[in-house]
Parts: sequence; C-alpha cells; structure tokens
Amino acid sequence: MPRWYAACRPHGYSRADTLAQDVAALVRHNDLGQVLPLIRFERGAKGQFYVFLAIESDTPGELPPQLAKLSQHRILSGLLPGDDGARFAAFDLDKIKTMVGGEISVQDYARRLAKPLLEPPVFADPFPPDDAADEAAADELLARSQRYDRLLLWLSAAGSGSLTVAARACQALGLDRDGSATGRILRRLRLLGHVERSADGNRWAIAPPVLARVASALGEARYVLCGARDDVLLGALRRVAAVDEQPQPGGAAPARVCVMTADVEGLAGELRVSGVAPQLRVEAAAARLADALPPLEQWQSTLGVVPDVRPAQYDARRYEEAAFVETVVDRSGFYELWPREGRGARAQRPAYRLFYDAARDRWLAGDWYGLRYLARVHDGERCSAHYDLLSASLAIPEAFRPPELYERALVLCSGRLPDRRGGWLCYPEVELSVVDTLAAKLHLSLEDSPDA
Amino acid sequence: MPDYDAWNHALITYFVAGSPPGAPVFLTADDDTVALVGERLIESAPAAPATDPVRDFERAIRARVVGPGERVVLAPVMGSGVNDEPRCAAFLCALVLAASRMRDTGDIDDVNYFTRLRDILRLPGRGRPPGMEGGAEEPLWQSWNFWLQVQGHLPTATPGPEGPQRYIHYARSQALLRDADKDKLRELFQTRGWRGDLDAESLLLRVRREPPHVLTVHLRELLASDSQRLVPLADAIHELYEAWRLDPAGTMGRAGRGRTLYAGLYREADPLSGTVCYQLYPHLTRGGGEELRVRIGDRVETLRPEREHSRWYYPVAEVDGATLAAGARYPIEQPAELRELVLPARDYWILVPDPEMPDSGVHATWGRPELGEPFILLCQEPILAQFNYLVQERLVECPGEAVPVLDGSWYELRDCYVVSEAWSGAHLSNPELYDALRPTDKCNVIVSGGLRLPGRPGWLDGAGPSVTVSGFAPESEVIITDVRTERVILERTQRTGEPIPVPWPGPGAYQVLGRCAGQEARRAVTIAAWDELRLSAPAEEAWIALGGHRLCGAALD
Repeated sequence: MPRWYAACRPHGYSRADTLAQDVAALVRHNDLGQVLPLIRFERGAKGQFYVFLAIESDTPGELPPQLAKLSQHRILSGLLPGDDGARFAAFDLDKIKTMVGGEISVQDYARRLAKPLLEPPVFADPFPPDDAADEAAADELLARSQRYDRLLLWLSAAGSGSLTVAARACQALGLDRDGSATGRILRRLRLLGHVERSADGNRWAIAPPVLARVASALGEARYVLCGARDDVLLGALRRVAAVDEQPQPGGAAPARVCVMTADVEGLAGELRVSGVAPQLRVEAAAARLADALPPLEQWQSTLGVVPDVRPAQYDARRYEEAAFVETVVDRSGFYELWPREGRGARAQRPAYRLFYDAARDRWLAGDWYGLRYLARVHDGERCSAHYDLLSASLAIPEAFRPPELYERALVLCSGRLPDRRGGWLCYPEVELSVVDTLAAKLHLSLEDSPDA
Repeated sequence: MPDYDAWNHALITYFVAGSPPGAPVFLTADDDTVALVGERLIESAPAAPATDPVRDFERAIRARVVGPGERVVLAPVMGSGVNDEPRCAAFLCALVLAASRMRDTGDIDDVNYFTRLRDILRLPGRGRPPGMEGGAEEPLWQSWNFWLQVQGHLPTATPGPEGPQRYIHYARSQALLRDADKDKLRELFQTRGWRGDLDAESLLLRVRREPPHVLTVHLRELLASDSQRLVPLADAIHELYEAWRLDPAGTMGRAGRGRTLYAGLYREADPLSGTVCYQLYPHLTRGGGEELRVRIGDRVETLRPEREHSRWYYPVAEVDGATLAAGARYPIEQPAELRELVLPARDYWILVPDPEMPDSGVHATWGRPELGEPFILLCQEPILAQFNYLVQERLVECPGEAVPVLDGSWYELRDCYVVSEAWSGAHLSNPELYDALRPTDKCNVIVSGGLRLPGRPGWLDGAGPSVTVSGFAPESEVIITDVRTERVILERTQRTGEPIPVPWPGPGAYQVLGRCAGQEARRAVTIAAWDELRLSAPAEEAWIALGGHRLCGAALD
C-alpha cells in the first residue's frame, strides 16, 4: 500500500503545531494510526502554512475508507483537491521539501509494534570471580569513602535542611562539582537508611540511628548502623562491640559500619541511657520494610497525583526500551513533558517527569526508577531476577531498578549498596524471605543464578 | 542577692550569647541595660527582695573589687571562673557604665570619667582610684578581648593614643548612648513628631539625616562609625524610641520599655520552580528570647527564637503583596507586657544572604548589605526608576531585570552590589533608599565557601573558607593570625575582591584583618575538628507515611 501525502492549508489555525495536536487527537480517537501514520509540517510556521498528512491507501489521491467517512472533519475537509477534482492532490517527500522554507517537523502517530522483551544479557555473569584490586584505585576509593563519612557526620549534626544546603556541603567536601550530583548522593543515603526526604522533595532530614539486623549464614548476630552518627556514637560502639567498617562499592557512600554483638538490646539500651544516642533503635529493618511495602499496583495508587497537567502544551516523550522517544500521550507510561521551544530557546530540562495512568486519566509523580519500573510492568514486561542461594545475592537488571523504597529494603538487608556488574545490580546478603516478599510485590520472575 | 559571679555570668550571657557568630561584641553597659539584666537575675534568685538592680550591681562590684583602705583590688576579677568565663566582665561593665554616664563635653575627659567611676565604687576623691594607677585595668581588657576571639567573636575594645586617656578609651569604645545622647534623642523625636512604626534601620537613617547641630558630639561620632558599630547603635536608638513612644514624659522610669516587636522579611525561593515565598520575620528585642504567642489572622502562632545566637524568631506566616504594601499589626497574646507585632509599611526592603549560611539561598532583612555582599531589593514600582538611576550612575550593579513577585505587585532586583564609593553627587527623591544603600565602609572582609559547623559559628577542619577583601582600591592586604599563638599564618597583598583559598593549619580561632583604601576590617574565623560534631535533635517532619506505618531511614513505627 503506497504512502502519499495530502496537503492541507488549514483555516482557523495560526500555528502548525496546534494543528498537529488536533490531528493527533483525530488519529487517537478513531484509531487511524495505520492509515494516517504521520504528518509533516514546517517547524514554527505561522500564518499561511501547509501541513502534509501521510496517507496510506491503495490509490494515491484517494482516501482509505477509514478516512473517507471522516471527510467532513475540519482538517480533512481542507485537503487540497487534485487536478481532476475527483481526487486529492498527492505529494511525495521531495515535492514537500520544495514547498516549505524551513525545517520540517514530523509528528508520528503510528502505533509502535511491541517488540519482544529484551533478553537479559546472559553473557554477563552477575556473580563473576573478584578481580584483583588495584592499589591506587583502592586508595582513591578509601579517600572518597572518607569524604562521604564526613558528609554523613555533617548531615547528622545539621539535622535537616534544603537541597541547596546539602549541595553546598557536597561541593565543600569535593563530592559534587556543581550541585548536579547531590540528588544522586542523597538517593544513595536514603537507600542506606541514613536520610529521609520531605514530601515535596525539597528538603532532607537525617534519620534516627538504627542498628539494623543483617542476615548471616553463620548465624552470628550482626547489625549495620543506619541513620545519624557522630564520633561519640562510633567510639562507643567500637569500645563495647566488634565493629567492622567497609567502604561501599566504589566508595560512593559512607562506609558500612557493621556491629557484631550477642546482646544488641543491652548495648542499645546502654547507649540510650548514657545519652550517647538517645534515639537509637534496633530493627529487623529490611524484613519489616519489605512486609510493610504494598504490592506494586497499590504502590501506584499511593503516588502523588499532579493536577492540571496539560500535555498538549508540551512536547511529550515516552520511555521506550532505554530512552525517551518523542510521541503523543495516548497510553499509560513514563513520560517527559518538555516545554515547547520558542524564540530559538531550548529548554534545559523537562517540565515534568511523570507516569500517565491512562485508565484513570491522571498524572503521577514518584522516584525516577520507580516510575520507569511501573511503566515497564504496564507495558507487559517482566523483570527476570537471579538469586544466588550460596551467597544470598540477588541480581536485578539495571533496566529494572525497582522503586526506591523497595530497593531500600534490599539494601538494608546488608547495609551495602548494590554492585554493578555487566548490566546487573547485585544486592548482597539478601534474606530469602525478603526476596520472596519483594518478588511477589514487584512481579519479579526469579531464576537461579547461572552459577548456581 | 546575686553576687559578683552571678552578675558576671548574666552579663556575659547577655552580651555574648546575643551576638551572632563572628560578630563584634560591644559591652554596651548603661543603666537601662544593667537594669534589664539585673531584673531577670534578681527574679531568678530564690526569695529575692525587691531591689533596684543597678544599685545591686554596683554593690556587687564594690564587694568584689574595693578592698581595705578604699583601694581597688583587681586580683579577684582576673583569670577565669566557671565554664572558663573571664571573671572581669562585670567589672569591665562597671567601667563602661561610668562612661555612659559622662556628660557630653565633646572631648575625652578623664576627670569627668573618673568622677562617674568613683560614684559607682563609692570612692571619694578625684582622678584614677587607688589600685588602678598606670592603666592597671588594661590586662583585664586584653584578657576579655582574647576570650572573645577564642569564642569566635570579634573584640571591639581598643586603647586610645598614648597619653592620660589611653586606658579610658577602652571603656569609651564600648559605650553607645550616654545619658546626654538619650536626652538629645528624645528631644529630637519630640520636635520631629516621629510617632509612627519605625523599625530600627529606618529610624537610624532618619537620625543620620539630621543636621549635626541637633545631635551631641558623641552621637555624631557614633553615627559616623563603621557598619559594625552602627548595628548595635541602631538597636539602642530604636529601643529608646520605643520607650519614648510609650512614655514620652519618662514617668514610668525603667518600666517604660517598648511594647512593640517589629518584623522584617524572610525570603525563600524554590530552586527548581523559581517560586518566591516571603514570610514575616520577627526581630527579638534586646535581651529578649522568650516564646511569644501572636494572633495572625484567625490563628495563634507561637514564636520561638530561631537559633542560639540569633536576634530573630523563626519566620512565620506567609506575606502577600497587599499586606506588605499596607503594613500590618498583629496582637501579641503572650507575654502580657508586649502588645503587638508590627510589619511596617514600606515601599522597599533590602534583603541579604543568611550571614551564618550565605550559600543556603535564603535572604532576609538581616541588616544593611556589607561592602561586597550581594543583596536583593524588593520594591514597589515607583522605586524602580530611582534604583535604575543608581544603576545608570554606576553606583550599584544589578545584572538582571526587575522580576515581578507577590502577584506582580512588587518587584525584585537580584544579585545587586554597591560598586562605587562616589555617592556624593547622586541625588534621589527617596533619601532613605539613598542612605540605606550608600556604603559606610571602605573595606570589608568576606569569608565564603567551605563547610560550616551546623548550628555553631565556625567551619570544619579541612573545609575552611576562602577570604576576600572588598574595597574601593585595586589592591588590599590580608593578614590572618592564630589567636592563641599570635602566629601569622598568612600575610599577603592581593587583588581586591578576589577570593583566596587559605591553608588553615587546623582547628583553632583565627582573626582575619583586611586593609584597603586606608580602612581596616576584621573577621573572626573558627575552625573546628570533625569530632566536635554532635547528633542533632531528630526532625519530626522527616517521617513519611507508609500504609499504617511511619518510616524514617531504617526506622519503622
């Protein structure tokens, strides 16, 4: 079936992109994506302009039946007639280029073919043998880790503050050159249970100190220190218990402080009463959090609804496979809504990054990875995770990084951030019960490790 | 009855704890201040009999320093006492109290001064009392200055030139308003008929515009001081004004203190959306610090002091453009001795970055912009033309256009700087704006960057600040001294306005001296060790709802 272009010189439209939105609505409401796959128009055209509708029909110049029955529509009624008067004028792409002066924009309406799910990169073993550590890299890692230790000490003393204040602290400690990394730094600190963020996302606060129980194959009682800390608390722990301090992967967060004691309640009570850490708690944090988290569908319903979002005012991009792709908002998914370019200015960032819940026609806000995960599940994708029983490690494809609170439950199992290995995020020391709980809630498809 | 040590501690608390970190500390002891401190001290004493606090203060001083043979003995007020506080503070306040009671002769007059001091000490005769010969009190002033620097403050007591008045100058450098100045100011308020709601800054600007002959010589000297001295002076004049408004005839004595609190503005901007929010920012009265309950609209808000050294309450209640233009009065329900919180009606406000955390993005009416310090002018439309005139005349630099805020009824001019000292030829129809922006200093030391100690003055070891000398000459000199060892750690000439990184040698107290255009400026810098950081109180608002639970970090309720 050949594709040809019908030209339209619309009346009642001052801008081509306004008309493009109406064409999008026409296509969406009448399911015309197969016969009217795209339009082309002059970017930024105003006043007198042409819009070219790509039409797929048996005969160039003749509308397919799906369009013919809509011939009285405001847009279709304005199509240029052909020389014989019976058909419409049919153009090709080269001809169009001679008719418009500026750059041609394309608005694509064709529904995308759902591609088969990408297979997990099986060639990459999520649990490879350790590489020999490079000494210089180890020194660098240690230095970076110590800067994060200081950041946590500072946040613990400051208590709470704005993102700007946190960004300045990160910059002063050499962790963030221009403030652009602070959001990611705070995210890692949240995963480790050190800080929390306010509902509006503009402020942070230090979390109370917690000795969070971690699983141990040997049955020894081990706890990682989460939340606020200072030298007095660390010193007291070192005096009364065996303490193991290990940098996080890449030194990208404060070191994990692991306390080994047979009487954790007695230890915590002593530290509370002595005033060293009056707020100190002991928690089976990972298991309790995993139990408290709702299934993904319920989690979706807890996300904040952003009112008054008018997608027609923005350029929409939908997350597809691994990138945001220009599209129209016509189904559920993770979208970026970019301000329209005007006067040559180009927006630096999208106005919104939201999940569109088409069933309830509403826009939802949440953490970036969480929205992406939700979108993938909505698109029918399923996350295949691997669990290595021997090391109690869980590997999840990076592309399926779970929503933040679910990932926090995984990280709190060990007090360690995940390792990145060949496209995988590997969470160590994850209790099987936590894996099972989260797998059910996140619709994870669990498989044995390739090595297992 | 409180003894000397109780007075000493109370006065240190009043003068030092009420000063922001790194700020200059003046021992501005006069009868009213001593009475204010004494009333609280006596109230807190068990079964305290009714007594005049000033008389009680004088009694405590005499009991400690006047020895047998009507001789002053300074040994009991040397060294340090509880909490390492210097024992000399109360005695030094007595020396300043004597200076505040001096007549306005226009000259340094040692006879005038020592007569007042002998009255306090109840010592007969003239001139220096026995036991204080040869400037015996100077080591006390030096010890006080040293202690202040170690605490991270700037000392202000200085000796005079060589001669008989050299040591009197220490006390004179601390005194602000003397009795004669107060009489003159009350006369001025009466003559000019100033009865409206004037905040401290507006009142100071009005007094400064008065012709010299209506002011005392001492007051004229004070008004010509550098900006560091003008801040406490503005507060002192304002306090007098508020007391006068309440009791013009002075029949209420010391009970006639002002009943009005004034609010400035506190500005926060959302870094992502750019939305600007203004809130009321109530200013504490001198020595105030108790919680207040204020009715704002149909709500009763509790005002709490913002932080340990702050002169402000926490910001409260958002302000809209119309309220800002018309001003507002809010009744204070508690305590009973205060009547209302006033937001003065003004057509412009000047906001500067948080002095304790300049990088926070928060601006407020913390005072006049210091030389080299950026400011935001928030103004109504008629002011724009006048401000533009200052920009066109290159007196002020403003990189951007006026931004409409508060529903478009007000405008903001952001990141503005005063860039010239040549203001004499400029004329504005709004003289107050002119005076508010005209620089009083020719030199300023700015410390910026680094990582500040949360909630306390100072920076953390390894993350100390850069130092910039601002001024109107192309080159400036900077000298940084370790206060404890007096070792100079950096001395160099640098381009004015250029920040220099400083190799701070480690935890300690340092003083930065800048010299530019013939003027000096000082700044105290404290570097703290990392192990001094302590856990803060948990923030209740940090908990997030999770089903039937609450979550904060790894803690789940």
